[in-house]
Amino acid sequence: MITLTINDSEVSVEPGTTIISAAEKAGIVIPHYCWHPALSIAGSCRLCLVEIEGAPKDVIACGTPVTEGMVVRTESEKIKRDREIILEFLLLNHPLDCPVCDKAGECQLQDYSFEYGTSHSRFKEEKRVPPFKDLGPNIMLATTRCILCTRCTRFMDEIGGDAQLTVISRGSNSEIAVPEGRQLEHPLAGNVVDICPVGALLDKNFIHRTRVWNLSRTPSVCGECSAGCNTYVDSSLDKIFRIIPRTNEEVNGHWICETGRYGNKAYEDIERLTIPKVKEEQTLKNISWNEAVKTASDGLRKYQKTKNSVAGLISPGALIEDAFAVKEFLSTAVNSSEISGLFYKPDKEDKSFRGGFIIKGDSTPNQEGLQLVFGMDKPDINGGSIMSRIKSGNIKALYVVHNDLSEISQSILDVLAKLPFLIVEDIVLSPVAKLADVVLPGATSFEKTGTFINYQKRLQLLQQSVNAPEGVKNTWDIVKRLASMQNHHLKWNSYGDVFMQMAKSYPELKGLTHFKIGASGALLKAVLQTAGSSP
Amino acid sequence: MNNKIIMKNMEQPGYTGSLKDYEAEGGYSALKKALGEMSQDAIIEEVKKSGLRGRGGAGFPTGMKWSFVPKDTPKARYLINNADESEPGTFKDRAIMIRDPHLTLEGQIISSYVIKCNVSYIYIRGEFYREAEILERAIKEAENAGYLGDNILGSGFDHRIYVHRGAGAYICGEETGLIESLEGKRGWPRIKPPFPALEGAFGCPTVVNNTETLANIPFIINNGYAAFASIGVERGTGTKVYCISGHVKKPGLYEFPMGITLKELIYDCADGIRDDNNLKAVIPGGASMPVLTPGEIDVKMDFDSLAKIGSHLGSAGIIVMDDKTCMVDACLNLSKFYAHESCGQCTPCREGMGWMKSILDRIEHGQGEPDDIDLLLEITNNIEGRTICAFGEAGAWPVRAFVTKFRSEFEEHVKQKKCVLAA
Ligand SMILES: Cc1cc2nc3c(=O)[nH]c(=O)nc-3n(C[C@H](O)[C@H](O)[C@H](O)COP(=O)(O)O)c2cc1C
Ligand code: SF4
Ligand code: SF4
Ligand code: SF4
Ligand code: FES
Repeated sequence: MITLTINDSEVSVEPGTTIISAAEKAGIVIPHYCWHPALSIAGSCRLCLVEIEGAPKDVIACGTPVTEGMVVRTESEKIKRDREIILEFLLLNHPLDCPVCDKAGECQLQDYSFEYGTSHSRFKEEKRVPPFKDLGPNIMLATTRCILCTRCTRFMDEIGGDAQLTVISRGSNSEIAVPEGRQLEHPLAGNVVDICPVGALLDKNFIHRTRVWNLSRTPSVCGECSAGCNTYVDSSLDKIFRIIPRTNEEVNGHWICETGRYGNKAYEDIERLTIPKVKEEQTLKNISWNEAVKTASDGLRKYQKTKNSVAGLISPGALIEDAFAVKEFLSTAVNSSEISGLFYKPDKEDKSFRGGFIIKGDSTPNQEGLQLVFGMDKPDINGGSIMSRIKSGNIKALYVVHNDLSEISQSILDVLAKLPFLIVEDIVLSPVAKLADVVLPGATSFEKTGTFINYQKRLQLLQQSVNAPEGVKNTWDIVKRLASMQNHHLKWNSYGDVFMQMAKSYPELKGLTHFKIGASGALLKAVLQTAGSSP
Repeated sequence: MNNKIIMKNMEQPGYTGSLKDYEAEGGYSALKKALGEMSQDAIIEEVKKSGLRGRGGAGFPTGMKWSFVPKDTPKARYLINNADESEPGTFKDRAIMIRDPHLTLEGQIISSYVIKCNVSYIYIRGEFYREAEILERAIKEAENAGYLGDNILGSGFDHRIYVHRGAGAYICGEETGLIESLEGKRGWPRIKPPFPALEGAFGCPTVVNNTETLANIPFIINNGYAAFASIGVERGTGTKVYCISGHVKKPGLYEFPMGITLKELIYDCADGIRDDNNLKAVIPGGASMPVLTPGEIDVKMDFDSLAKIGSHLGSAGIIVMDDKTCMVDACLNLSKFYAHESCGQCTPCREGMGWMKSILDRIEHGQGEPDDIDLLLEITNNIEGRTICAFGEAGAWPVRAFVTKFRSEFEEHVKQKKCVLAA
């Protein structure tokens, strides 16, 4: 270990650590632009200059390894002056168009200029005005605002594994560009927008739609594949404006893929179910919640006397709490332990990128979670066992949770069509909902707080980022109502309650609550293995 | 005068620079001696004691540079002959390449032997097309004669030299920009550490030496360190090839022991100022080095003497300006070069060079304002010491020196709102 002093704090770090990382360890933030913890060191913006006692000149904190006994100053007058100088240079040709810039409010050029810059410009020359560029389907470059930190080019090369961005020209004519004949079109491209410290790289889907200070931010987890990337959902007035990565070194690093980034889009223009429906003479008719629940309950009661003739089928887009709530309902109220998932066989390979990022072939977020709830070692593809028992006539009534936009294959639909009684919880009038005797409007994963378990067997909490439309109810609430129609009282009043009840019955979740899961999730692997190996 | 090392052969009448001619002058005897009877350490010691300092601009002691290469590394080692020669006012390496290519090649092979490197490169300025061809031909000759290739002169040492042409960027003369370019990337200087001696080309220990530096090695091996050290001055041993250009009667290359004065070079060697005008300014070490005034030309042209008066020997490109020259225009001319050649990587240089150029352009064209002059000085201060590579200083120093030493001329431009020297 090497011990050094930064400002007034003594820090001990591994040899080879740079000053900027050592400072971070001591809780000292050194302003920087080009440095990014996951990228190679460029050392080019020069904002991170710090003073070292006895050194002839100031050094860059991002590129200078610590040495024993080093005394570093990051807030001396000299260093503040360094920052002022660098910021003056950076602003020379900058258009200062914050009022129309989408980055305003979360721009590091704005922030550091406010903190360390001067309020006037000594630049009397004409500013360089290179034209804006359309780089690809989702991203444009406001060329004038670029500070040439090269985070974006390094990202594409080092993390994306395909150098779709490069620097052209020289000196103050240098510009970010796509190589001739190419486009910025890559499953990870959107991350360059997030790491651009200024408003140069812009997501065309976000431009001029809102100001960032109007957005409220909710930590969440992506529901588009079993990788379970950590995200922030930025929304305003129950409308989602963007999804961006939330750093979790154990899962997604600092990144998300385009599918996850635009994962909310598919939910934007759909016609949501908000009123329950029941089938009368082959057509679905709107009905009140009370009547829908009563109809559903009456329907189930016809079959529940024979054990296991009612079953549940849950989409792996559902929370583990959803799955557990239905499971509890079936076993306590309708005399059944038949429950499975709409597990799909991944039709794609996993896709890994140069920097280690992975997009899973399994495009459902919670297969592992459902397996845990149902006590399955491996997924029961296409609800296999349940399907065969429907076909054989043993299962007569089915409760389906399908609160996402996943497609259910025709062969499954054909089987479900044979059921005497079918209840479907869904967000749109999907093909499966159309088969139902009772359709119940459910909530999307953006609209509830609960947990997924990703492919690593990591339990992760997603928090409700928007309110569900009026009329929609959560699964725990629906099954609670159904149960009480049968004189069974399920005691939960929230997903948190459901989880707490689960934690009591699953050793893997012992001691956990929504609050205790933590920002980077809780790895369940070890416990699951022991559980799996016990007879 | 017979104290020449670099130009000794080429100045002989009828000397063509062919292998035959070179051998007739004793060429490759140093290689034979080095490979035959000297250990690597002995050569390093010899070169250290000779006092040879790099001729590429920074004057770094050559023997010491070699000794930084780790002795027991499993990695390959590389040596690069820096033939990028792009510093305005400098044209000495080019003469070596054209007129006596084997001299620098012999030095390169010996130096490669010293650091145990089996492949070395000549990184040559893109515009030097003919020179590249000459070098390629000389390499062939050396290969055929057994001075290059496998088991050179039966010593067991294998070595090959490749010529790599640049694509026209001054910054590729800076050693780490050069290495990036050699690796096929954009010529962007690297941050240091790591230094090339530990991690240079292709991640391996690498030595970059200037063409003229390497051309001195055969002499030192043949004649011993003392012969070399006895030429020149203390901490400035050997000869130096001075490149004189500008307003002199006889511009050209002049090789002299280090320590000859600038005045002697201008008035005795180059025969004085054109039309017998008065001298106004002289840049002693290539465009990047601070300009001197007529009052300063008694300075000895060696590393320390120039440093003492605030300038540097640099590449020894001496640019002479007579009293018909506008100092603002001259300064603008240089700053255009630096604005054009900045690689654009780091903030102070990328933005600062262009800014200085625009201000100078305004002053020269009658649109200067009084506060522009101090602003120029401040920009040079703000660039200096804050950049990735020494290009920052190379572009800032000339402006600072011109503005400081010829301030009244700048002020006159601002006051009269025009160039005071334009006809
Ligand atoms: C901007 C810049 C340009 C340079 N150009 C050259 C060049 O053209 N030729 C050269 O030999 N050295 C050049 N150098 C110096 C090299 O970086 C390096 O110090 C030199 O090649 C080392 O050789 P030496 O030790 O033999 O002097 C340049 C340095 C800078 C900062
Ligand atoms: S576009 Fe953004 S990330 Fe890329 S170099 Fe410019 S400022 Fe940096
Ligand atoms: S990799 Fe998977 S979890 Fe991550 S953002 Fe993409 S779709 Fe979402
Ligand atoms: S100082 Fe200039 S030339 Fe050197 S790296 Fe920085 S921008 Fe490039
Ligand atoms: S953050 Fe260190 S130089 Fe940019």
